[in-house]
Amino acid sequence: MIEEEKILRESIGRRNGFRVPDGYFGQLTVSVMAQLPEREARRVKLNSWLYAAASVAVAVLMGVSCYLYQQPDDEMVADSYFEQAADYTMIDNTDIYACLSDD
Amino acid sequence: MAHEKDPKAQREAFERIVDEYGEKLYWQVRRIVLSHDDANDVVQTVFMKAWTGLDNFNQDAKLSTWLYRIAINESLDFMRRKKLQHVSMDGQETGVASQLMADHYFDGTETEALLQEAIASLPDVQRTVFNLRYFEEMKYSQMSEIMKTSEGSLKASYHIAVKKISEFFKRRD
Repeated sequence: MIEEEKILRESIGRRNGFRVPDGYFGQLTVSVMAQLPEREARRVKLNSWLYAAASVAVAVLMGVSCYLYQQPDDEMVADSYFEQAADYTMIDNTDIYACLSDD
Repeated sequence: MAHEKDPKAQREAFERIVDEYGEKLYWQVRRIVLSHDDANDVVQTVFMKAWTGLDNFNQDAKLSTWLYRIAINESLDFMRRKKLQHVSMDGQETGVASQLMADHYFDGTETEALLQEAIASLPDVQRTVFNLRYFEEMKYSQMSEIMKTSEGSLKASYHIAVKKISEFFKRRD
């Protein structure tokens, strides 16, 4: 502590003499809060890049889902193809069974 | 995509902040603006600015530091706007000590009033540093965070302030 400061503290002290009205601090919070404006519910937008990435991900998932839904069943393809082939060659079922039994 | 922050929860949290820091900030403001009515006005402004500036508050920083900084800046701005008469260090009569002795909310001695007059005459930084160090015994490290000034500069400001105030009283003796 510098000498001048020591003299100040010893001769004057640290009492500042300021006073407040009775009960002032008891009602300070109430008076402060009463004058504060209401805050609106804040809607926070995500970063635009994140929003774009999320949109792309949703679109990809939807595309994949549609693609999988529209894929015909393998067995159905095989049966359909076989029927068409049989009609084209004009072979009926009796001939087919006979051919298979020869093996 | 968006999410909401609950305004009611924010208000309740802020009320706890006012409870905790209200009195500390008041005395910091009062030591600068001197009058109770002015201090009350400035404190209301401080918390209003804190409330509206909450979104800008850096959560990594200390809340007390942030609030103190708002309080000091608002107090000094208030004084500049009000343009109180300051004591000139050549001993000319000023109004500060007289105003305080007539103030209903000041019950200090004439010496204490003169001390306030001497402090009020200091430049803003020296006045603030003197108040924080002499009356609150705040560490220079904390002061440095509030005022965004190096500890070395703050120590120098304090020493200069103390010497000026000592000389003020010597001239009056």
